[in-house]
Amino acid sequence: MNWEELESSWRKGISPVYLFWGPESFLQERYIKKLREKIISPQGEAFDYHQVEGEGARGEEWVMMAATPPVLSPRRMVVVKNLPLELAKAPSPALAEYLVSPSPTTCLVLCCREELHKGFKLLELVEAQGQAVAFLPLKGAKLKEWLVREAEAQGYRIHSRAVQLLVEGCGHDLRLLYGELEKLMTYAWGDRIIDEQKVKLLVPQALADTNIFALTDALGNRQLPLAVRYLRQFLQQGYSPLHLLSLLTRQIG
Amino acid sequence: MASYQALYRQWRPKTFREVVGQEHVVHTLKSALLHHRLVHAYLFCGPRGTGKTSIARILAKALNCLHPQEGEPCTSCLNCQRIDEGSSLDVFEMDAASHRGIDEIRYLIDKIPLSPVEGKYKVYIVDEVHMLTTEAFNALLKTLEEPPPHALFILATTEPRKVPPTILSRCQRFDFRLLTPEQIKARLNQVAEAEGFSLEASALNLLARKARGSLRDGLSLLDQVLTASAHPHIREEQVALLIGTPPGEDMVKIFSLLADGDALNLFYTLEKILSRGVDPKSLVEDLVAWGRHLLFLSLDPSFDTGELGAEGEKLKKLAPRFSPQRILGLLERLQQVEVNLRWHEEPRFLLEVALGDFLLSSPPWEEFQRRLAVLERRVEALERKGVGGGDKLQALQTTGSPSEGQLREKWAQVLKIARQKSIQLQAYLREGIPIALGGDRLVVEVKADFHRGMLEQPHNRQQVERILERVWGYPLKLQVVANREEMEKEGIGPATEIED
Repeated sequence: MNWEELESSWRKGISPVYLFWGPESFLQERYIKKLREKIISPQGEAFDYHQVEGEGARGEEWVMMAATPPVLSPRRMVVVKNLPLELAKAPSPALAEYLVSPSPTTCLVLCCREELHKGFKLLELVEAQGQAVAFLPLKGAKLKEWLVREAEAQGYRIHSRAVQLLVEGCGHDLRLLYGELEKLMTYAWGDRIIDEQKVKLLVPQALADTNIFALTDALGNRQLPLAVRYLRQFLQQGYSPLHLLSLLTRQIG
Repeated sequence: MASYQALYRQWRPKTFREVVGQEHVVHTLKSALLHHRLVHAYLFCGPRGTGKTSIARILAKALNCLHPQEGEPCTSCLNCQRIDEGSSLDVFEMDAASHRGIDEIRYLIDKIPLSPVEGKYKVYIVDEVHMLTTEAFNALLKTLEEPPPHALFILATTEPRKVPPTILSRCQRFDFRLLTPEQIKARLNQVAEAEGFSLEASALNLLARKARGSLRDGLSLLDQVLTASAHPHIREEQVALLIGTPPGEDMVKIFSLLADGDALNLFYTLEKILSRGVDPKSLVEDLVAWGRHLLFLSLDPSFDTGELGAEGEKLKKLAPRFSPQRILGLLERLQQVEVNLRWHEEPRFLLEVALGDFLLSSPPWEEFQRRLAVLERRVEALERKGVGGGDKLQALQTTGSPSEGQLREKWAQVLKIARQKSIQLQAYLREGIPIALGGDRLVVEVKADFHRGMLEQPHNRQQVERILERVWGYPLKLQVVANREEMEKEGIGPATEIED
């Protein structure tokens, strides 16, 4: 299953076990939060919600937690972060045993930042009783659509040029992109419009990487005054000369 | 006795309203405070003295203020006062440059789960955060991943590129910009007036320029000036003397002497400036800074020299007298002086050598070659005609001599008129360089024999001579010589003499 289908699948009921896999950790965290709000009642937070570190563990401890009935919420939720790849390839006996018959009063969420492939034992075990959900990086048009949706969900309109600049400047790290979007939304609280100008004002990375093209173009066309003007803009923004030099060599080389 | 507090501390902004510049940061933070859109970690990056720590403290106050007004801290409630004094139990400031290890970060982080004592938030301000060790960063990252709702981090750094990307992506990042000279001037003027002083406009310009975008540096300089001044009205010379830098007037003088090529007076002027106690290093820095302006001006006459004040206009007038190559040559020499200053006992000597070298240095090599070629041709022409015989060609002594300048200028006119007549005619002429003017003849050298042939066609010759008459005001005969090398290569004899 892809993460986009996850929320609608909850209408049919929540599975006792989920495996979130893939490098898009920002979305993983977001869906853990959503699931937590769905399952755990506010007063049950301290008793029924557990988050444990997966790195270096073998799973016995989580299985014990998962097997314990909830106290104040209808279900207990156990989140295992940073599940190591070895465990996904070959789950420990305790984990494998639990996954064959997971406790119906618990929701166990295993989170792995690696990309998993067919034939991994853990995938098979989880899919038999619950859901394995892929969180792969968003790219190209999908990434842009996501940004537009995020802005619209909060009542903002974002111009396509602004989206383009954001993506060019920040790459496809959703956490970073969302952080910048959040900042822009805070800035644009009044008119609720995010345009190119606001992005340039608040997201210097966007400005730099677009204008570095302008600077190399100016250099290529031997437009010295223009090139000097761009260079001054960069320096005014506090860009270190060495960084500019490396950007230039990257563009020209 | 109350101890003296430096101006930049006295005048640290206490509310968002008082912050100079950084409107994009202030606007966003106020909006976040008003509309509950705060995040739990901020990263302030930017050059020193641009307001990072000041804004961090204002944000801390606004968060914990008992009576905030429209996102601004009231500055008078107990919490605001305690934060201003640095005695708040909920605001922790740490300088990562001197406390960079894991233990220090742990000490800070261990108490995070505990609720704030006085206000709503526990605010952690970590200055120079890029100095933390890798372990310390990891410890911090764990906390940034899931901080309790009452904790808010403000990380400040001058070098965001040294902060790990994992930390960067967990923070809302604000980039602070260097302040413009106008912003600095306005603030310095305000502070000086409040302290009972008035500064002359050029004095303010000088201070603002020396501050280089950092208000803190500007205020420190102002502090020095005010402390030393006995008179409430402060003039540019006083400021220049105190901070050991030459006033703009001197700089204009140096550049105009450089343009004149007057080495002797230039040395006297340098001597005078240095004997007033101007720091040679500072003089070189200023020369470089003004040279940069000159370079920009020579490339783009519309370049804004606002930060140089009235003297900027004078520099603008000097700009056409230098070619960009010449200025680059000068800047290179000055750069070298800057480097050598550190090792040399006699800075004045270094400066004199560099500027003297610039003035007395030969023009670029290509220029030399060109002139040599002209000379050779002239000698040849003389030999052919017999020395002293025929018309004497007016000698072109040096580049930049009035005769050649005039000749070129007139040639440009000739080209312009030729263009109006026919594009071909102009194309033939464009290949030519006027090399000598004598009696009633103008000698023009063209690169290829083809052009010579075309120009010598009677129809074209007539047209050209008519243009020459129009430009010079008296009749002139056209003599075309083709490039010697070209002719030799093609086995053609020496340029044909035109029969008068």
